[in-house]
Formats: sequence, structure tokens, C-alpha cells
Amino acid sequence: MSTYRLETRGLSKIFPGVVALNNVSIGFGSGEVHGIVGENGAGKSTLIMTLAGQYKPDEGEIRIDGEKIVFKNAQEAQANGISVVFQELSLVPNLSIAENIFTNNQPMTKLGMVDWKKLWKMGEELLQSLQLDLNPHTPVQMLSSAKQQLVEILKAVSLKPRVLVLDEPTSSMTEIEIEKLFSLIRQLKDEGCTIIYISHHLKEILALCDTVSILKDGCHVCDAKVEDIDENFLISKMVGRTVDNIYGVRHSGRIVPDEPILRLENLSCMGKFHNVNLNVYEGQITTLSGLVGSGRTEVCQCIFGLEQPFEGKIYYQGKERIIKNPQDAITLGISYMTEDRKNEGLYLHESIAFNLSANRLRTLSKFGFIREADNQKLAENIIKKYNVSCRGPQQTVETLSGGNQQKVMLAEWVEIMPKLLIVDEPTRGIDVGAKSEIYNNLHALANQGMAILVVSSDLLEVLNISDKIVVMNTGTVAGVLDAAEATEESVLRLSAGTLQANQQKVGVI
Amino acid sequence: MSKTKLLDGVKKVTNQREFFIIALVAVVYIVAGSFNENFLSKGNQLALLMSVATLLVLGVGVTPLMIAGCFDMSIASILALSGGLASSAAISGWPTWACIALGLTAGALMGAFNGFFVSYGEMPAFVVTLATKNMFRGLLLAVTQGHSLVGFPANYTAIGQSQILGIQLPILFAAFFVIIGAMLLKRLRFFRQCFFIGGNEKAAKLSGIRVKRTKFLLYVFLGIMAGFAGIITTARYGSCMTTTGENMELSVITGTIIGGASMSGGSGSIVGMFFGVLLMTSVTNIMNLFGADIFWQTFIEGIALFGAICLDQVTKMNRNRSVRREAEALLRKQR
Repeated sequence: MSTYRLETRGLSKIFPGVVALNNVSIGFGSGEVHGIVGENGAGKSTLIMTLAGQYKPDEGEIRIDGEKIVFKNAQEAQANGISVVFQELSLVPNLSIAENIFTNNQPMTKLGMVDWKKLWKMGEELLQSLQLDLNPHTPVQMLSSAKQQLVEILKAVSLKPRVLVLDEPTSSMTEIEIEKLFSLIRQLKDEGCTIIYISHHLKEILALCDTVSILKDGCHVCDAKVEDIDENFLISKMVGRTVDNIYGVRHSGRIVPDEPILRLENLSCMGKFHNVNLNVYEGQITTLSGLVGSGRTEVCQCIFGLEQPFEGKIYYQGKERIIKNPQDAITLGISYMTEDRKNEGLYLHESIAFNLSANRLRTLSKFGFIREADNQKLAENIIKKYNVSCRGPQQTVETLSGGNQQKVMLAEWVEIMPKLLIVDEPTRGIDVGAKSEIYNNLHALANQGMAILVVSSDLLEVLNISDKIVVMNTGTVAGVLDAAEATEESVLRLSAGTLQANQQKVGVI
Repeated sequence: MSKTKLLDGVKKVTNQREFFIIALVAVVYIVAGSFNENFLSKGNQLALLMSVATLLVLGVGVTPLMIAGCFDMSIASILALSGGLASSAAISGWPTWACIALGLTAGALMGAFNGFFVSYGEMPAFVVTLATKNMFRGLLLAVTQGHSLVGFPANYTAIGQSQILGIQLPILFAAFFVIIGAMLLKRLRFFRQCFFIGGNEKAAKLSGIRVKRTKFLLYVFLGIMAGFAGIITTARYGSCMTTTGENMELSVITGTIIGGASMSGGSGSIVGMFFGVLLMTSVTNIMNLFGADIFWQTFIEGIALFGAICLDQVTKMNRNRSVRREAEALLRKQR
């Protein structure tokens, strides 16, 4: 049996409410570029974090050259030759390129002082090896984000790793930087380094990698040699779960009004999105699809008054509106359920009743006093109506499963009876049963005539619950599809675009 | 069945943070009372309450602010400066109600100054109030040239020195504020918002709670309470010194934390604050009665605070562990 450079065996990781990794075994050979693909929430990030020593696996083990190894922390992973470049940059903006590159292994003189001469020289050499025309003394904050990303990668490379993990390294790069990165990767590969490459851009995966592993819902679906497969194969494996009817059905036949309840006209927000035109109708589910970072959430937050548009107009119920803050939006009958349940949505240490009262303190109170009994009754009704499995209204929400937490959050925003309901990733990281209940809720609300705007990265969800699909790409609307005509392929094509097209649009911003 | 229900009920009570501190105070009272009969005497207890009265008035303002996750280092300086303004107005012959109005307004304005920069200016609360702590007391120092203000009219000193049914007025004021505060903190919408802001500020903003305005008003409220504390302190001692109330902010904050407030916000109560302050002061009082070395007092206060933080940490870790256990059990069942 051949030994892999790096290998995971039966790796599992559980978070409250979700199995992030489920019995994942993958082998990474030396001198191999190994791609990992999967939808959002498939477990890619968790896998990387575990390899980087940031998470401890609940089950399973990691082996290096056949030997079992347990990382207590990130330093130990690094000491064992695993260097990870995360999507978030970890550079110190006001320090120079060379100082940033050698943060973790500064050259020292015999007296234990930093050997500056050597530092600048080594920095210069590394930059030249990438044919980057940069001065190692330049502060990192002067660089474009694409160049910063390259510096971040050089920082990992400078440690001379045996395994280099790159998470979405090209997200802000143009063709020129991508070309440089690819040649660096091929050079490292020739030197025998193992490279693990995570990307949403399937074309990059196919162009660069030798082997691809596909993850879905925390499970390892399969491995494939790149020469044997094409993009369609990857997509079908990424989304290929059985589509029994968890998505529910809508009683169509409701007449859609001519006038949209919400109309965005050339809405732009500095550095976030630009020239967005969008119509949302009552009684319909409109979905904003696209890659993470394509500006979907930002558009919703702008409608909800969390961001002010730089240009363009928001028409709501036929009138132009200026929505200054969430209070304004709520008063107008707009609800927004955040994608980040834990950090922005719920008060985790507090009870279900407390959480449900958050956006209706005014209606729950009389002469400025909260009516505790009403709050309690409200919570009891919602628990029954939404089938929240819990011990009672006083149970703290952090002890609920992800699906039940999501139901509480959805109920909080639905039960104030908005006219326009915006839900951002309504089913992220929750189990199938809860998903199905949430879809049924959304259909019922649309039937009652509520306008619903959904942001979703889950392709099947997008295709199965929407009336209309609006695909965003790099900050603007790439296309609008009628749900009846849309296919996975047409949505993916619009959202991923070609590298060329992406670049031109980045140039516009 | 009824037994488990009873057990649940007992658990619910004992899980409350206030329970620990009340139990602790009870133990201290029983032990101290059985060793020294003077401790439980009416005279000693009134003296003890008198010494915490000002702290409690401040505490009623500090508690909601800390629940909202904010912080104020300048309260003792607000106390001194507004007390100084009110008492000097009394010296120059203003009627007593006007002196009180001046003291409270001054306190409100200083609170508004802190609140404006912390909340609308988004500056760090600790640094802003550290600066204003010196600004406000420095102003008193500069204007008085370091001299004490004395010779207040009897009408003014009456606020701090007169008695009703043998109980001094400051104790009654403190009792009034503590009782009203304890009743309103969870019920009044304005104060209830503090729990949302301190619990999760981002979520509170998304829920349509006016986070900035609420924080600003909390500073104003605290300023008014500190202004009132300044009036009763100067009236009680019949003088206003440049050192009046110095370091009081630390005692109040310590007492509030011992009573269950966390520095990161989201928890705390007026009842807890009351017993927290009482615990610290009664320990000092007992040490006096037993003739213990008074120089250990600061050390004991430090130990009390440290113990409170440790208790909170243990509770938090236990909670995290049980949340995780519950989640894992649920998921293994699903698999």
C-alpha cells in the first residue's frame, strides 16, 4: 500500500446543530495538485481548518507520510510542514512586503536580532522568483488586493512547506496574477510539494489540478483524475443529492400584480455592488443567486437600511423611498432575516421568548412597559405553529439544533407580518427536515400574497422554490431567469461567468 | 413527578446568579452576627447602609449601562463636579430646589458628553471616560483652587442629614432607587433594550433597536444618578472637597460585577448589584468590628472581585460543555 504525503482517515467534525465533516478519508500524494470542490457548506472550510490544526477532529485521524499525527494547535501543523493560506488575509497593512512574508521565520543574526540585510535580500529573491516587479520595502497597504493575496501566498511558501493549502486564492485576482500563481504552483509541484487547491472556479480546477475530491453535505463523494472528467461531471456530483420533494409545492394561480412592490433602479453602493435593477412582486418568491461575494447580501442590506446607496433609487409600494435604518424598513413592512444566525441573528444566551420579542418591543409594550404575559403567549403560539422542538419558551436558543434556531429566527421576522420578507440563506447548515418545513412556510406566505426575496447559494433550492431567479455576478445583475426555464447550468454559467468576463467587470468597479 | 418538578424549581432558583451572592451575604451575616452581636444591631446596620447609599445610587445608573456592554470610568468625577456646582449654588443663596436642579442638569450634561462621543462618535468607552474623569475633576480642582467648599445653608445639608423615623434620608433615597430600579429594569422597554444591545449588538441593530440613541440616553441617565449622588454626598458631609467620591467608580463597578454583570454586557441586575455592594462593604464593616488589620481591606475587595470573575467563567464553561453535549447527542441520534 502506497503511503500518501498527507492523509485523512474517517475524519468527522460536529458543531452544535450540524455535522460539518462526516467520515472523510482523502489521500494527498506528494508532487500532486489536489483540488477540492463542493457547494457552500459542503465542509471544505472545516476540512482545511482541521488540517491547519485550528479544529480538533471529533473522530478520525490525520496521517503524514503514513504516521498518525495530532495537532494541538496551528503552530504544530506548521511545524509538520502544512502551510495554509486562508481567504481572509492575515497581513499587517503598514509593514513592508518582506516583513510580512517573513513574519513567522525572520532571519536572525548570531546575537538573536533580526538580520535586516538578509530579510530584504530574501524578500527580493522570492518576489523575483514570481517575476513580480515589487520593492520588498513597500508597505503592504499600498498594494492592490490581488497583489496582497500573492504576498499572503508567498508568506506561506517562505516556510518551505511540504503541503500547501490554498483556499479560494484567486477570488480577487486578475488573469495576470492568476497566471503567476499557477506557474508558482507548478514550480512547487515539480519540487515535490503537495498542493491542496480549493476553488469555486471549476475551470481553474480543471486547468491546474491532477486529482479532484468532491465534498457534499460534509461527506466525501468521490475522487477523480482530472483528465477523465469535465465541468458537468463536477457539477452533477456537487449538487447530486436525491431530489425527493423536500421543496414543497405552491398553489399557483394567484394573479401576480403588474406593479412590483419593490423596484430597484440602477442601485449602486461604493465597492459593493453597482447598477442593480431588480423587481420583486407580491405573491412571488424571487431569488438572488450567485457566488458568495457577488453582492447579494449587500443589496438586501441596502434595502433594509443598513447601507446607504451611492446612486440609484429604491421604489417601494410605488413610491421612491429613502430608508435610513432598519427601524424605517420595519415600519415600511420590510423584514430582513440575516444569513449569520449566530453572530447577527440570535441572542444565543437568551430564551426563545426573549429572542422573539427583539423586533417587536414597541408592540409588546404598553406605556413603555413590556407585557410579559403577551410575550410568553406569543412564544408559545410560535413554538406550536412552527413546530419548534424545545422544552418551552424559556429554553435558551443556543441549546436548540440549527434547524430549530433557524425556525425561531424565521418566525421572529415573519410574525411581524411584513409585506416584503427578505431571507438571506434561509436553510444554511440545517437538516433536511427543518429545510422542508421552512420551504413550506415560504410557499404558504407567498400564497397569502407576501413578497419574498431569497438569497441562496444552494442551487437546487434556488431552482425549486423560486418564481424568478436573479443571478448576480461581481456586484451586478448578470441575468434574470424564469424559474420554469432555468437549469443548473444556466444559473451556474451566469454566476461563475468566464474568467475573462469577470475581469472586465472588476475593471468597471 | 412532583418531586422532579420541585427539583427543577430549586435548580432554576439556584442557577440564578443572584442566588449565589444573596446566599453569600446571608452566610456572612449569620457568621458575623453570631460572633459579634454589635454587627446586627440597628445602629451598625444603619451605619453600614449609610456608607453604601451613594454607591447604590450610582449602581442603579451603572447596572443598565454595563448590561448594554458599555463602561464609565468618570462617574466619581461627575459626582464631585455636580455636587460642587450644587453646593456652591447653595452657598450663594439659591433655593434648595434650584441647587438640586442644577446638580442634576450638570450631571446629565456630563453624561451626555460621554454618551455622545462613545455612542455617536464610536470612540472606545474606556478611553473617553478615562479622559473625562480627569477633565471633570480637573475642572473642580481648577475652579476651587484645591480649596474645600464649606458653610452650606441648613436647607441644603438637610438633604443628606435629616431623618425620617430614625432612618437617614440618603438611605431612603437609595432604597427608593434600588426598589424602583429593580422593578423597572426588566419591565420598562427602555431598560429592556439594554439586554438586547449587550446580548448581541449587531442583532439588536437588525431588530430595529436604536442602539446608538439608547446608549447615549444610558450615559445621560447615569449622569443624572451621579449628579444626585453628588448632591447627597456634599449635603451629608456639609462640604465638597476636590477628592469627594474619588475611586468610587471602582467600588461600584466591582459591586456590579460581583452582583452578576459581565464586562461584555448582556447580564446583570439591580438586586445583584445591591447585594454585591453590600457584600464588599459588610466585609469591611466586619473587619472594623473585629479590629482586624484595616490595611487588608483592599486585598479582600480584590479577592471578592476575582472570585466573582472565576465563578462566571466556571458557569460559562459548564454551559458551553452542556450545550455541546446536547448537540452531539441530538446529532448522533439523527445519524
